[in-house]
Amino acid sequence: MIPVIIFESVPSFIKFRSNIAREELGIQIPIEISGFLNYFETVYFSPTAEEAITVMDEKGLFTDPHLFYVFSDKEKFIEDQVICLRRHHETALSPLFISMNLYTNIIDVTDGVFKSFSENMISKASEIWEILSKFDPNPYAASLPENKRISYIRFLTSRKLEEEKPVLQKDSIKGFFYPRAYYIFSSKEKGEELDELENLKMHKILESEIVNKTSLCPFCKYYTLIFREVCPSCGSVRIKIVEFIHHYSCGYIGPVDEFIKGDRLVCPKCHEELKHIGVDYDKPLEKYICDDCGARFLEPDIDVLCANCKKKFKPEDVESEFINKYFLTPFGKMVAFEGKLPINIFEEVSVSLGVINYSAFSYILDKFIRISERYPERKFCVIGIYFSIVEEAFAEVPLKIRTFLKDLISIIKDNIRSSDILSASEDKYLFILLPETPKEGGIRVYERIQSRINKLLVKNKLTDFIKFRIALECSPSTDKFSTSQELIKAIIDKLRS
Amino acid sequence: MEAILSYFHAVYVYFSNIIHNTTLLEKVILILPYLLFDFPFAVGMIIVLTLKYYFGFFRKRKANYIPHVTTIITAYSEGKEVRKSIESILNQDYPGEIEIIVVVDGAKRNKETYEFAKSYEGIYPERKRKVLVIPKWERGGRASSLNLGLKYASGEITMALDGDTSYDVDMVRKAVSHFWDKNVVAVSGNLRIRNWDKTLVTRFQAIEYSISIYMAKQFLDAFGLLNNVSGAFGIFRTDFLKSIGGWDAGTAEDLDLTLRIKKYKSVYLQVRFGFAEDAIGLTDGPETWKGILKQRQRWDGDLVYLFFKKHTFVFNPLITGWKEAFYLYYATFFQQFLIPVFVILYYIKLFLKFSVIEVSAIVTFIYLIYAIHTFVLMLFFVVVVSERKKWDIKLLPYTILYPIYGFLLRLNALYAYIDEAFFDAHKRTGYVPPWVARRTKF
Repeated sequence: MIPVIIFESVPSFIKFRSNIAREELGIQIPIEISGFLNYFETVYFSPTAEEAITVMDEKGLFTDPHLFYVFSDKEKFIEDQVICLRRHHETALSPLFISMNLYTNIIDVTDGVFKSFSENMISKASEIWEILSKFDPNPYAASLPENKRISYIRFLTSRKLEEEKPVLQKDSIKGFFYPRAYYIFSSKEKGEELDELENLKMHKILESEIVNKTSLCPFCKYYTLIFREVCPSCGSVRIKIVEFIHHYSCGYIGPVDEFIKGDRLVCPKCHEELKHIGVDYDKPLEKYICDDCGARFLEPDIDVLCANCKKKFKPEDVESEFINKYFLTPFGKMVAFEGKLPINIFEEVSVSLGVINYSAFSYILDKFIRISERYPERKFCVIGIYFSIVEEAFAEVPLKIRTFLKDLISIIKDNIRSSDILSASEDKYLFILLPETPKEGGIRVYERIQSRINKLLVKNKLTDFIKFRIALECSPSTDKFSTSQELIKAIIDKLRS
Repeated sequence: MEAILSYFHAVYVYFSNIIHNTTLLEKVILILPYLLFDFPFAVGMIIVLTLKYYFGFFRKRKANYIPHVTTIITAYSEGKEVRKSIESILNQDYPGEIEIIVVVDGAKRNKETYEFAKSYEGIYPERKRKVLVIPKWERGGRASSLNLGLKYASGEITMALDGDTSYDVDMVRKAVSHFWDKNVVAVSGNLRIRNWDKTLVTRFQAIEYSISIYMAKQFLDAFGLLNNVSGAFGIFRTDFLKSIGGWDAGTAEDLDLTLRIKKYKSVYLQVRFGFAEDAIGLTDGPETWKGILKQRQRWDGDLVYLFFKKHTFVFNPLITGWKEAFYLYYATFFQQFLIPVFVILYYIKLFLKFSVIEVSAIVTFIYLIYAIHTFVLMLFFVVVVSERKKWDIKLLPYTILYPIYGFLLRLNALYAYIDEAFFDAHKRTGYVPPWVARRTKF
């Protein structure tokens, strides 16, 4: 384990060996590391996280287990270093400790607060490395968003975090943010990390549960809304409520202002003092008066002003959005270990089989139909394959599904020739065009694929999770297909039946 | 017919005989109870209030003081009438914040009252008012309602108000202005009769309230001798109220609290409380004779209960001080308990000594004295004191009949004292539920 201490006062990235006296550094280090040196041969010091990352990258130190310890009494300094470390792909998952408690959510992406080195800190770092070592290497380039996504779910997995909860935050665009996602995804604004979380949810890596709700501007999607009572005729906010007084004995009705004389209420018509509501007078109504246009009305309108984009709109236009908490699905955990994001299962299979664009396939198939019409001896077959995986399968038997998909690909590959043409459509049908193949040959291929895959499903007890169908059409068939569309439709009908 | 006329003629002859042919001493003897008790009080009142209204004596200094105020409105079976009470507080011209706590006692049974009160619940930011409605599902009596309300009270000043009473638009402002003086811990509001023009009984009550609350309390307050902080209308400094533990369960919680404050006052001498005649509430009085007699039996019975069964200390001058004790002996002990007894015995004696005609003439004479007494006080009230002169001037003719009401009420009081003294009437007045009454200590 290589400890790297981020400490402002050191001049540059330096190695600190056990046999060198502390004074030789020429600076005063207020950290007791002598006990620490029993565990490690070397300790590295760096003035900033940025420098540490650069040097460690150069020296290839990231391959070894390491830990970061940010030692400072300045909150701002610690925060900056933590953010820098978590945003970098090499250090996003590294064990990271700080020397003082922070009262911001940045603390959520650290692994703990330790005033000095302790065995606890080291054992915690070892625990994290134990999990990190089980992960397959992250296959995505550092610049890709996929890299961040893997880092994020690996962070949750390696820290054994069950869920990511939304935190109320006034400078988030949604009013809420997710601290771990925000720092690891390096989102520009708080609240933007939600898109990433939703993306992972779409791929069944995360699940969610509604915990709150927010209201957003329909134009800029910020939560910064100001609700105001306005005049229904001119929209001015300069409206005031006026109460009306009804004097019982003379019957006069007028706004309260007319009755006020000093600190008494006096009827402007008969000059009698009004002492007691219900006995001398009552207040039969309340009305709003607009100071700008003079309109009188009983109910003001409500309008909404967005403090971010400065647009005005009606309350019914306000978009309300549920705020969720997110947690990793079992499938998500598997993805974290394997490091491969399933963009789309079907797509993955078709890409590894080398499919061609469907419209091109359709064009080629048309030509084959034309040829077989003119030269009936030139025969061809088309095999259609349909498979779908029920959602629970990813959670219950994720590894089996993975193996099945690999086997599916190899079975198909084993049974086709290099001259065969593959394509896919509607994200669920796979088509194989077998040129120069008579019906008997097509049936052989068809039966081989069908029996091998059915055997595989039965053997792995996947029949409940995976639906698999295969269909065959050959030329010349009993039905006359004049276009590729008709032929494909016939195959799809067979697959559906 | 002729017999009746000749009877009245005889009474008249005898009556004019009393007027013309008796010595002053004889006249004095005839109206001795009046001269001993009612007359000096009336004269004192007129002198003090003349000094106050025309020459500014006894006027309390008030300052613009705008603390946060809590009003606890206790409601029971008022139904939609509770709205008047809540609205009158919502519409106060007080510039500060008012928290209105409506406690509905026995809300399960008084669903209607609760529903009406509930419709006001909420915050009225532009008026600086807040309404909170607390349903007490099981009935527990007014003291428990007030104590519950006090638990929620966040204002510096707490007002104990009643769901059947509504308040003048400037009530809170006027009442609170007394509290600028840190030593003032409790102030009693001024109650008047809202339905004064409904029946003869309500007109008599309006006269009674004008004299014995509006004027008498100002008179007593001038000497620091306030005898009751009204339950329908008491205003307190919240922390003081909390420090004495709020209200005790049982009946007549208003007078009970006043007596406990007096006890407190005997220890903390600087503590003051008073009467705010300009903080006015209007309440509906009973409209029938039966109603009024029942109400007063409860009140008078409670007096016995509180003075003689619960707070016997008030008669000990070493605790309450000589001034207080003297007043209590005079106003309470004599006026409330001994006079009814004395009057009855006095007239029994007269009845035995003279013939029926002579007695009728004497009674007519005494009646006239009381009628003139009431008329003069009421006239004084209308001219000098009243803030609703238009209303009160219409009451003047009824002062001639008022002694009938007064006498009936005194007889009624005597009955109540006996009932309470010997039969514990306060436990079955229905004002406090029987299961609470049984558990009170006294």
